[in-house]
Amino acid sequence: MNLKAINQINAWLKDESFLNWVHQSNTADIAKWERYFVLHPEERPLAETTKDIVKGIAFRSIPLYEVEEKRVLTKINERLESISKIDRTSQKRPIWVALAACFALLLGSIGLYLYLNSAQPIVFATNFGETKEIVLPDSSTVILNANSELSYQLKYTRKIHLKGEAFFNVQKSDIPFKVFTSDLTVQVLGTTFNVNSRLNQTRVFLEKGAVQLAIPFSDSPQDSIIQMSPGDLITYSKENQVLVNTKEKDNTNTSWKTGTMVFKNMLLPEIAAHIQEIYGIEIRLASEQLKIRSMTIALPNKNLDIALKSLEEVLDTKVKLIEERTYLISQ
Amino acid sequence: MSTLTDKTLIHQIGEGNRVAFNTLFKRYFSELFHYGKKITVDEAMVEDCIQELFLYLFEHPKVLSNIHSPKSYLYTSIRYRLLAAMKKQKSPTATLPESILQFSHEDFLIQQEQNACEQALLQRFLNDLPARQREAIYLKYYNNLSTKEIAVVMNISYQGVLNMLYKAFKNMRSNNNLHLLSELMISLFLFASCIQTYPF
Repeated sequence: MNLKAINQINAWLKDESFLNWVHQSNTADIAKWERYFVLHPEERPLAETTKDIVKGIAFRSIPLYEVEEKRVLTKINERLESISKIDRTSQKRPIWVALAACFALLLGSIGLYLYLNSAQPIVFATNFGETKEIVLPDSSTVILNANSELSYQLKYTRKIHLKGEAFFNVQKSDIPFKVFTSDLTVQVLGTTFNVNSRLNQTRVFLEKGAVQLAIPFSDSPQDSIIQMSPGDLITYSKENQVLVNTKEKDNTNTSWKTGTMVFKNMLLPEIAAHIQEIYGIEIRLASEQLKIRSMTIALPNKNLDIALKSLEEVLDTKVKLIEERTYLISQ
Repeated sequence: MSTLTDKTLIHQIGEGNRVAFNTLFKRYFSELFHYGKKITVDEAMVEDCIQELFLYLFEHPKVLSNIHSPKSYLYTSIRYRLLAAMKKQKSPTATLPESILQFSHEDFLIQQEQNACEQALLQRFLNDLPARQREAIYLKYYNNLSTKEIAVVMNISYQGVLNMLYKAFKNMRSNNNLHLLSELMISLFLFASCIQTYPF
């Protein structure tokens, strides 16, 4: 992918004056951009292609399929009626008949899905600077943060393997929901929590409900089980075998879901490491002074320009691009 | 009922409101069916998949209420279900086969000034594009999905979608037979302006 061209197209699509030039709706803007392309003729082809993207292709509007619509809606309503009839009359029938019917229905609907390709794992991944919302087959929802990967097997939809960071909202069920990271396993029955597994450590923050962590310590053959309560933030690294439990009063651990990462009293090198993970860039600190500097700052996780500008403001210095995808902060 | 937003309808469906459910169904049926028909010629299969999808949604209303874009979810779900059903029926193709999402001459808005020959050229050019680029064009200009929504449906990044569109239109420009295309699209645009909006 030609990232430079794509970023330029993206910038133009968000520029009102450019759009006015495309639609020829503002004489000042038309003149401005025509002047610009006279000075930069090499950019004109890309601009023309962007213009094509904006104007697009004129298709007919989608036809109304009234016959089919009526047919499907009737079938749906019939099915819904018959399901509620089963509910209403189940009290008269012996329990085992109702259970058998439910079990058959359950098997039937699960069977169609699960037996299609049970061996291959389903994988969801995000790019740098991107977040994704995912709905799992059991209706649990996951928000996947940037540069992260989530996978599961069709046969075991409540056993999730995670690299990176995700926020889980787990459907209550008798089947335990497990999140496996390289450091530990999170075991849940149904609740909301955040798992951050990057840079050789896993951090689990519990928002609501109850969660168990299964942690392998090298001095015992079995995993140790740790219970978490809401507000607990547990950090564990398999590498150094250290477990820390801090209580979090405010919810800065999950603010990334709405696009903001909050760093509280963190050393600048650590903040830089997180930005690197999210955006796929390298940040170098020029002086020793910067390496021991700590701060509290909130940065967006989907807009690198604003993130860097915020850093510039707080540090009162310039962030320079010195190589492809490498930035230098000097003071 | 028909002027309520998707979010409101979904909330109502969560409380078991059948009228809200029927409204959401009618709002999306035709476009989902049209999309499904482009993926497979088997119309009965498309109807069944839509039926199963909406039944599932009525029984699991929380699914939709947790998502930002119900529209992307519906499209993604239909796509997944159709592919799964097609896979079960015949050859194991994990991705959309190259032959799907073909445009027919009925898909285009017909203008008086327009030469039938020019339109046929455009149609043939589009159908020769790789399936992924065709799908991006279809979802954007036929179904009017936003670039962000298309990214969810096609399971690629936002930049990935722009890349698809960029490649398709770049090829169009360099294709000598379509040198009249820019004029064609300007006149088409004037008619399409009622459905084309600025926000991307």
